[in-house]
Amino acid sequence: MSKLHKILKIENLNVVYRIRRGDVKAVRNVNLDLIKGETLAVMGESGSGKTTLAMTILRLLPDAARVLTGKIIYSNDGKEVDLLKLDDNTMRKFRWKEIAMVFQAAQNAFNPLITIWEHVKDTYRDHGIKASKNEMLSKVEKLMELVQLESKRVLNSYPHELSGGMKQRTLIALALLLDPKVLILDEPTTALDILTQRNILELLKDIKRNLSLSMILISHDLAIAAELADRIVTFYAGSMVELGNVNDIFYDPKHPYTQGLIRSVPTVSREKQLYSIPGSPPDLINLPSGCKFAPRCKFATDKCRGEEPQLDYVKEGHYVACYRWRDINNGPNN
Amino acid sequence: MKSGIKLFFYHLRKNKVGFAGFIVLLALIFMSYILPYFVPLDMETRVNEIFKPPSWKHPLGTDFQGRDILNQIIHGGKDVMNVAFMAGLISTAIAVSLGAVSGFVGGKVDMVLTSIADIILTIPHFPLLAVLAAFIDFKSSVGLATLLGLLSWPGAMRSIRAQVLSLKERDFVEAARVLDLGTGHIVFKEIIPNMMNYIVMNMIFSMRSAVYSQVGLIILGFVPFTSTNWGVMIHYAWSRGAIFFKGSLMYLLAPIAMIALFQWSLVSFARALEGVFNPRLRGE
Amino acid sequence: MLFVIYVVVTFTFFLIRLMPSNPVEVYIEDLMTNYAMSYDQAKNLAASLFSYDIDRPLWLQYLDYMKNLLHGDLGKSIVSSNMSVSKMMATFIPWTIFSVGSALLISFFLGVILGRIMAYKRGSVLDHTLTTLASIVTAIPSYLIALILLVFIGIHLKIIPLKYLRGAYSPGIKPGFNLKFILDAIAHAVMPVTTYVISTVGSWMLSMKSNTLNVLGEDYILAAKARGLREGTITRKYVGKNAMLPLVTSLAISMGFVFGGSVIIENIFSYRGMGWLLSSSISTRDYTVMQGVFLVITISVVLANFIAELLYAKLDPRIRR
Repeated sequence: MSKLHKILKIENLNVVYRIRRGDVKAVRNVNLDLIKGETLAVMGESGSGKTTLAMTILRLLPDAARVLTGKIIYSNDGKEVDLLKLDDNTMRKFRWKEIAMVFQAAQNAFNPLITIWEHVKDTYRDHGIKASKNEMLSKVEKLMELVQLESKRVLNSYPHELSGGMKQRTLIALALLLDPKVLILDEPTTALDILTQRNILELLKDIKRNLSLSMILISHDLAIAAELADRIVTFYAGSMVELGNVNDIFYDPKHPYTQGLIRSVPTVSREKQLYSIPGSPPDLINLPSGCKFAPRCKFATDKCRGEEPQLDYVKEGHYVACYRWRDINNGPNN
Repeated sequence: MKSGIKLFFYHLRKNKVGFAGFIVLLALIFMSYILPYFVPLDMETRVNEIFKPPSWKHPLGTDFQGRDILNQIIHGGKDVMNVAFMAGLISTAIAVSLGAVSGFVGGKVDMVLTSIADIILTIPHFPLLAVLAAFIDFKSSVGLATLLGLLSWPGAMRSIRAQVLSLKERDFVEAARVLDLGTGHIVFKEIIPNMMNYIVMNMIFSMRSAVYSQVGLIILGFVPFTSTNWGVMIHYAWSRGAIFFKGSLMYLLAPIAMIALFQWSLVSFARALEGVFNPRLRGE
Repeated sequence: MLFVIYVVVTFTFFLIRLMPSNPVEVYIEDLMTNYAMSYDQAKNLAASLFSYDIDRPLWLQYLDYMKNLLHGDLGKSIVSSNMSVSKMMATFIPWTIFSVGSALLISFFLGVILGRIMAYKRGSVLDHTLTTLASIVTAIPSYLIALILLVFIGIHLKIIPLKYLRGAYSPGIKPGFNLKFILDAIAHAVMPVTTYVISTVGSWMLSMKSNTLNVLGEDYILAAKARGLREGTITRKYVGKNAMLPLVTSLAISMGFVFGGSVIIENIFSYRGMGWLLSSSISTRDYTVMQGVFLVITISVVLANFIAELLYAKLDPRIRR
């Protein structure tokens, strides 16, 4: 495992939002690697810190946010940089060229007053890439083909003239424009209808197959994670609770929260009752001591409520932050 | 959504500027309506005291006929405020009725009313007023106030109509309709109370516009004067040369300051009301 | 829009004729009593001045009126009997266009620039100061600002020589496209233009600030940053364009407002433009001139509104297509 190239190394990351009521501890003690060429799915409820994590990697956090500790080391072609220490201009050039992100709200990701082609031109120009109009055009047309859009029509359109699905695909094409090494997708299929979701999923599978990208997929949609991810990490209350490859997580989850997530997805075949995790996520300003999931966990003991569990080794590549994972026998088949 | 008086003051105090505006407004109203009972109007001509600079006897100096300026300031707000309040009320009454009907009933009625409103909105008010003033003899301020009200309802009507259109689809209206409570009831007892903030705000803006027009007409001398008021003072200050002497500047500046304060307090108060009625703007 | 113009024109027609003291009849009476004219003589004179005949039935008068208008005939001035109203106005209109036009442009750009700064530096001392100033100044009626400027800048602090505070250009200087005249015209326009700018810039500033803040919170701005676009590109093309667009419609409304104020403000500075002409014709009861000026002012504002709407539709692709 240690021989594999880690393109991103997140070390000891802690991010808070300073608001009037106090500090919102959005990302807590995160240590995570992204292996080159893999697709890592980040799962969890809203407010679990997934989006904040993604924004921190690209340093797009709002003013109220503070990175308290941590390093995000990007390593490629033998060079290593700590993204959090780059100056503003270098970071700006980094964005999109090395690491690109497809946002959650694709519907409003475009400037309503300019055409899609203008967006493309702006991206090329501001990255100092001196390409002729034809060079740019041929590259964009290839990408449009990849996402199965009619290049001429889309490029000459204004954002309001495109449907939701078309916008999402355009965003993906745009994200691949500068051949980034890492692609972060934040909820790529939310707010789309079922058929379009399926299409986007197939598209992402194509991209994964044909381009050697490393991808971080943020989603609460298990179906997508199951089909795209190589590894999955589940987040709860800002920190990692379980990390493992896709089979381990789906067929043998060790953390009660992960188990709850897997079990709460309705499927056509299952006849059992629909399961939902009781209770609600904690207040990120006043977190309880010990394991943050304890209040909702039916296996919680006093030890759980005392000190917060760290990631424990289950087997090769599978880690869980729970004291009781050996005792609990609560897989999806129970 | 109806705030109690206590809640009203609590939120008003949070918006410091708005609260200041409210206090200033109260002070001006007190000065213009209540103080005159204690300080009688002194319109006696004193030829040997023309354009005297401020002194203990005349804290703001004297005017072109030797009359005390401070005295006139105290009595000068009543006319201006009367016309403003009346015009505001008339304008708001028309705007609310037409806006509510237009928004609620829709169809041809809506089209006709909106077109009329648009036409009146496009015609510049002051030139029209100036021309009308040449023909119409305004014997009392009621006439002027009515005219001002008749010209300023379109702006308020459109915004009220927009509000009604959005409220129309809300649940509580649907409920009233199902209960068959009748159009009149629905409009006046369900929809309008939920728009009180817009109604009050629009009334304040009508008042502002009424002051602008009235004082403008007075300064140009297009409406007849009754004794004295802030606008009249400015008119005479300009036409009788008070502006040329350093000592007599107060004759011009004092009424200007009063009018500016009145306008400013109206606007600040309106902005604060916006915050009181709209929780999202309060920043909660 | 044509419908509105038609309404305005018709309205003006009836304004003159149905008013309590019908100016034409008053004039005829006046001629008869003071100039000892016979009814017929007076009537004919009145007819030529007002360019209509009171004996004809109303609807025929209306047709005459419309016909004359289409030929640009607005009658003759009552006070200066030889001057055609349209000719008179032709000498006054350019001054108002010059002063109001430059003022609106200056005010718009100043307001947009300051508004943007206020939004980017939100919460700073600069922002608070400018916001307070803007709120205070917009509350004061424009003509009062004119008086304050006149008194302090002209009379008491003597920053600008008094001769520039009266009239549109100095007597004795020949109008024409020579530098001396142009500089003189600008000097005379400084005060009215400053007044218009001060009275309107506040609302542009506050609108632009609020629009900019709204746009800054939009998702596409974050997306633009994520694409690694330069700060300048984002500010100009993504924030600026979107924040400024809604202000285009306010431009037309502003014009109506400034035209209204010009009636008083040009009077204060004796600036010989349309506003001055209107107020002077009202004072002298020169009904034909009054009617002509009112018509032109109103139609200009209607036209300006219309053009602003067209412009907005052209600029916003969401409406265009």
